[in-house]
Amino acid sequence: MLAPDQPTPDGLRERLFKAGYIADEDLASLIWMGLSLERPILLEGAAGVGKTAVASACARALGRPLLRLQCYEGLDLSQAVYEWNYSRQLLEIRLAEAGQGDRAALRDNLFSEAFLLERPLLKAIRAPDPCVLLIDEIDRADEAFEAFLLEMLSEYQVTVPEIGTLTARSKPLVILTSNGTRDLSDALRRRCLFHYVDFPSLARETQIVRTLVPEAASRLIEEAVAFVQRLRKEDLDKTPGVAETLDWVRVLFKLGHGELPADPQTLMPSLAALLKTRNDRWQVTVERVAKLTAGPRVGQDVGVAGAMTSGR
Amino acid sequence: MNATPATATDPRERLGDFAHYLREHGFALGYAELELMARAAAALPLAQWGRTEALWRAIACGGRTQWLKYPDLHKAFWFPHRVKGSTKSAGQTRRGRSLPELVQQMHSDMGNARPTQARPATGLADQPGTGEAETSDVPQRAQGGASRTAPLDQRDFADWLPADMDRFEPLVEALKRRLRAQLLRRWQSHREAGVIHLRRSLRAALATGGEMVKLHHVRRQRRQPRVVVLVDVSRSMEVHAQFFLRLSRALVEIMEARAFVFHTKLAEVTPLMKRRSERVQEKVNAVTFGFGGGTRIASCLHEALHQHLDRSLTRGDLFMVFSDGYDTDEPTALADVLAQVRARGARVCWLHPTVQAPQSAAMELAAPFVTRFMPAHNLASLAKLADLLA
Repeated sequence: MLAPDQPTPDGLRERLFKAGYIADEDLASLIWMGLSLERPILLEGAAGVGKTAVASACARALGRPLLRLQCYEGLDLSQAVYEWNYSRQLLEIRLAEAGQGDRAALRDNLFSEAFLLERPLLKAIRAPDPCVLLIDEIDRADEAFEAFLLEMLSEYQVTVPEIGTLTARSKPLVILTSNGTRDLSDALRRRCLFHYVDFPSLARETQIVRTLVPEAASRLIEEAVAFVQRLRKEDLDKTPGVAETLDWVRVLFKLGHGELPADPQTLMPSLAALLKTRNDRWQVTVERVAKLTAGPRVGQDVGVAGAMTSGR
Repeated sequence: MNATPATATDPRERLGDFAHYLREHGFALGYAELELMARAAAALPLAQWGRTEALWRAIACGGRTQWLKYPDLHKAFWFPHRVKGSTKSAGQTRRGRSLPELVQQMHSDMGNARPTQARPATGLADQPGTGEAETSDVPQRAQGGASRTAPLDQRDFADWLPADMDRFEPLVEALKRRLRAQLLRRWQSHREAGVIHLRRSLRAALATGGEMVKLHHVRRQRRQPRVVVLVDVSRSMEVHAQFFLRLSRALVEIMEARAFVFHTKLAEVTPLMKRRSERVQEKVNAVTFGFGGGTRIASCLHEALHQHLDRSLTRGDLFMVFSDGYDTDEPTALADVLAQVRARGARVCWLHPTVQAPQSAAMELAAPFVTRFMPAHNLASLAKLADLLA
């Protein structure tokens, strides 16, 4: 059932780690299952928890090229799947008219794959070697496009009216991400393996920051991550994600801090990296920050111990 | 027919039972998923059978609520003895329930001669007897596992006061239909409808040697008028504020309105209303709780207009105030601020909880600037909500 070069879940986790993504056990199992069952994976979660990063890490870990399709309102098939190369077709016709080409051959070839401009979806299934296809923010595309995706995701084939059905040369690992701004259809959900990407635990987030910002002092990282974790429990309009934590730690590092400064006033300007709405800025006052920085110190020990056990 | 030992040996059937159990809890599982679950379990290295939960969770779940619910169900079904307070279900010591054994069986079964999909789980439905056995299992199981998860499976808690929303929705929908999109002077490119944009089409034809293969269309830009809702939550409105808050939530959900509450100060509550959480009511209360005694309608409307809305309120927009009109500001101030709103071209609708339009001094002066008054003391009076735009 498994291809010989297929990694085990643990092996995959290791490879993802080397590719710079710290996956938990469940996520690694999921990607492994997506690979071995050839099913698309649907990742849902708040913005900034690292959904898109999963795909690029997968591509690096598996040594496959990454094809990315960013969805937006009004995305149509000519941008997502294929388009006829009109210029080349016309050129070919002109050549035939001028007596240069073979007219009979032209009639047969004018609508052949040679004149097809492949866009990400078609490219992904027509590639000779399997790749990783990232369909980002599927909830932004309209329902018509979602319906089209169904054929592609279940059969790995694309129907071009002029040619017929183009089947997959290789089956890509398809990763869809959604922010949940619109409810996806049940049919699409049914075809995918679902994973809800939550905010990471203290231990995992510390590990992530440590891997991606290795230059920062570990004391700073631990304290900053603990701060963000406590901040997430506050009632904010936009809860900061992992990306925001990374930004913030980088900012603090650039400011030359080796640890979280004791004076909350000095932290205030840097909070722009974490708080993204006017309301949140207004809510999180100096006193609030002071309270959050002075939070229970127990959290740090958990972070260190947790990181050591899970980082084996 | 109830040959338990015989049925217990078929791993697919136990899996079928599990699927049935999940379906009872609102999961949409088809045969394809069932087969996938079996394949996933079989593909997993045997030593790691503990991972099946994660794998099956990914297959079975289709959304966040199910995602959160699954671990409990999984535990209740496969490890009933581990679930606290379910001694009854622990009495079912049927060997077929054991997950490790099941996975092992799947391995030996599927690893053998049948790598293809030779009628996997579909076999369940074809055998007449087993279907009955499956249904006869249900009451037994419901004693234990289900009792723990019953409160969870009731419904999606995301909807805030679902019954109320149901009644407001048609009214607000009717209002929305009345609110016409405005045609602007500017053109906007459109995929297939509208007039042909000659310059753009010719420019595109350059790529195809002057042959116009693709035409570019444009049509007038459309703009959906914005809706702003301001709810008075002062003490004089105490009884009605709840009702108006629900209505404004429907407006936020359906018409993407911006919602504010005011008293002596103003606060925007749109994000609270949009967030689908059962604590919305508490939060709105918390926002409004700290406010002082009187009502400063005019200064609150002024703040909303100049600090929050600013340039986003323009011609054709709808400015809805839910208030009884008792203002502690200068009587002329309200008229001034409403005049400013009208000067932007917006329509002012005043919904009052009394049958008569408010008669306070401030309202007398401001009345000429209100496009329309409407009583809204109960649901019945809201039936004419759509006439606001007539």
